[in-house]
Amino acid sequence: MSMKNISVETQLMNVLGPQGISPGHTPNLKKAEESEGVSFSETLKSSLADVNKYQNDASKAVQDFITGDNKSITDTLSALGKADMSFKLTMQVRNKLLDAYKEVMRMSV
Amino acid sequence: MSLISNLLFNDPTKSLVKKEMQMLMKNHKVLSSNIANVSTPGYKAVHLSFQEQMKRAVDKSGIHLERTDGRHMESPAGVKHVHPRAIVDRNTRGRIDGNTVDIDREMASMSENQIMWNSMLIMKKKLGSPMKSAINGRV
Repeated sequence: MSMKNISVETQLMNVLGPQGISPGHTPNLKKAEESEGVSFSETLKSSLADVNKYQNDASKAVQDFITGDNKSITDTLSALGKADMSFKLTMQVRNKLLDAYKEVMRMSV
Repeated sequence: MSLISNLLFNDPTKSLVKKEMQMLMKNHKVLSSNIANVSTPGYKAVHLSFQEQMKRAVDKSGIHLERTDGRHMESPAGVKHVHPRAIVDRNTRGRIDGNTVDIDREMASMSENQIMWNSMLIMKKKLGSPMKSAINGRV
């Protein structure tokens, strides 16, 4: 009859595999957290880049429509709509963030 | 150029839309005069061509020189200096009185012109909308 090793390290090794744990070290929990999701500031930054991209796309679409490179008015209007909508969403997120900040500042400690 | 005009009125796309609207207005005048002269003996139909010129101006102004001072040299090929080309329809064999206006064609061109005008209005409005909400601070 074999005895099962029930130490934390063994359990982790079962979950993560042999590479997931280096000998003599407990796994870095913070690192695992980071690899799971993108940070808030990164998300915000990439969203702003997206909004910028939509605006550039809209400008390009209008230029193409006028020069006759793209005759579809639906494409142009949908590009414009995307730019407008995404910018309005950005505005609203900014407003909510400012509201939250003000709310926190008003809180009595 | 002042700060305000740099911030608000220096968008090349918006000036392109403005120029296109001016062209459409001129085109409307020409088409109207064609229709008005449908029964004038010897009248030759006139048509404007401007899409090619607009395209060339946009393609050339890819290298855009920013003007931050009135004394700076102007960008060589701006949309501001696009002029429509008038084509007088002399070669088409018109009616017996020498008139070359085809009323169906003129009406169709006018409808197209009107559709373009309306879509330009919508686009102008939508292009300005983000700046408007940025100024207002809310949607």
